[in-house]
Parts: sequence; C-alpha cells; structure tokens
Amino acid sequence: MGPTLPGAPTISRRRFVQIAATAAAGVTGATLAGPARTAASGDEHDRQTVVPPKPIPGGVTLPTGAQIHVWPAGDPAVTLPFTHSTLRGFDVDPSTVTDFRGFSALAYHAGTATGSDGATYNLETHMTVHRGSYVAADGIRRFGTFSFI
Amino acid sequence: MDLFEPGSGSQVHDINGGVLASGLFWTLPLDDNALQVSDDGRRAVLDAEDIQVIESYRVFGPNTTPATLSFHIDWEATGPFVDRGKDAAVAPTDPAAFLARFAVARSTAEFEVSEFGFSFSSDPGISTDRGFAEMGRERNGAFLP
Repeated sequence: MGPTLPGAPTISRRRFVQIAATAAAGVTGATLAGPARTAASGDEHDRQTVVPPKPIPGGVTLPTGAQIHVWPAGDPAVTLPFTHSTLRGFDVDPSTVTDFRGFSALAYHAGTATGSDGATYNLETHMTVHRGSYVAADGIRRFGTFSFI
Repeated sequence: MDLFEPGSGSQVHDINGGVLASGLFWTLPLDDNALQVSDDGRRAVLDAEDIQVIESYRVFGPNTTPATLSFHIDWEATGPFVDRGKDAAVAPTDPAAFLARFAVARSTAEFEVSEFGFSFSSDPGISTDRGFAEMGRERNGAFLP
C-alpha cells in the first residue's frame, strides 16, 4: 500500500467538488468515472469513461421494501461479528454484476482500525472483486475489473 | 466497509461505492492491473489506491461526504474448487442464478480511508478468520448456458 494517508484528503479542489457533487447525487448517472488512479499521478486528463455493467436482477429486499442488488453470499454457518449478519449460503452469487463471466473473489474481513481521533474501532468489510467479460449497460460486451465496496 | 464503536456496538462509519441510477450497488471500476491472480487460481492480490468512495456514516445514512480508500487484499484458497450455483434452472432473480467453480479461501487485508476531518487505518491482523472468503471463476446472466 502507498504512504499513510494524511488527516485531510490530498486532492485538488476541482476534484473535491466533482466528488462532492457525485456523492450528493448518490452517484447517479450513466457512466462511472475511473478506473481510479493515484492522486499523486496527477493525470486526471487521461481518465477514460467506463461503461458500467448492469446490476444482478435479484438481491436483498430491505424492510422498507427497497431492493439492493447484492446477496450476502457465503457459509451459512457464519454470522459476522459486528453487523451480526448471517451469510446466505454457498449457492449464492457473490457478484453484483450480471451478464458477467470471469474471476471473482469475496471476503468478509473483521478486525480493528485506529482513527485519526486516536480511538480504536471494530472494522468489518464485505469486499468483492470481479474481473472478466461483461455485457455493459450499452449492450456491448466489454472487459473490466470491478470491486464491491 | 463499516466501523463500529467497541462499547456500544453502534455503527459510526460506512464507506461504500455508491449506487448508480441503474441500481448497480456499491460497485466501482478498478484498473485491470489492480488484480493479480496466480496461474492456478488459488492466490489473488488486489491493490487499489485513493479510490473515490462515499462515507455515509451508517448503512443508507442520509448524510454523506466524499472519502478516499486505499487497500491491499490477499486471498489464498484453503479448500478445493467445487461447483456452485444452479444456472438458468432458477429464475434470474434467484441468488443461485449463476455457475461457478469456487474454493473457500482465507483473506487478509489492509485499509486506509481519508475524508474531510477524519481518517482511519486498519490495524494488523485484519482477516476473514471471523468471516468468510471464497474465490474462483463464475458466470451469470447472458453467459449461462
């Protein structure tokens, strides 16, 4: 991993505004910016627009009735230590991307983290990576790498 | 990625990839060279630096702020590759609507997050020993037979 991140983001004001606008909009839009590069590279101008994949058609239905397009795949004997979520099973697709063929890896990590406030926190993750062919939102078969974060 | 106060157990940070209008959920693109997979598919390493993510403090929290995430994740298969999924024999909305050859794995990781006014780094020992990991090849949707 790169050098320790400072207490404040080392990004340009223009980039900050772009990110803030994206965050405020809930990252809506037709395309994804990226793939992400290091802030130190300074090569914002050579970014390419990635045509995003489509979400899996299924997924968890929340108590509100809304659906999120992800499944908690994994050993159903495992209950995660901090969210207390129980995994759904081995025959459960870990991918958030549909019309996909390629390599996938899934991990639910647990441990601790130290904040800039000096406090220790319990940390839990649900991370995946998917690299391979996908039929993008524009209907064209493409190749890419994606991570559920 | 979630942070919780040890005493209360309350969630205090939620780092995620945002949601597209299409419904693509918490999923972001990475450089193809971010992922390295061994020839036998039993080891993988994922590196990313300064990914632009969202801090929503709790799952679907109404308040958000931009953040950056860097991570290094290792996967190592600990079991054999086995068949998973039920292909197109089930509805597309079924969680088993895929085919895969997955191996149970162990994963270790390091994370760094920075946002306006706060940052954190994972401590040594982050792993899936209290969670779960798997890895392999899969297909779904239009790629099912």
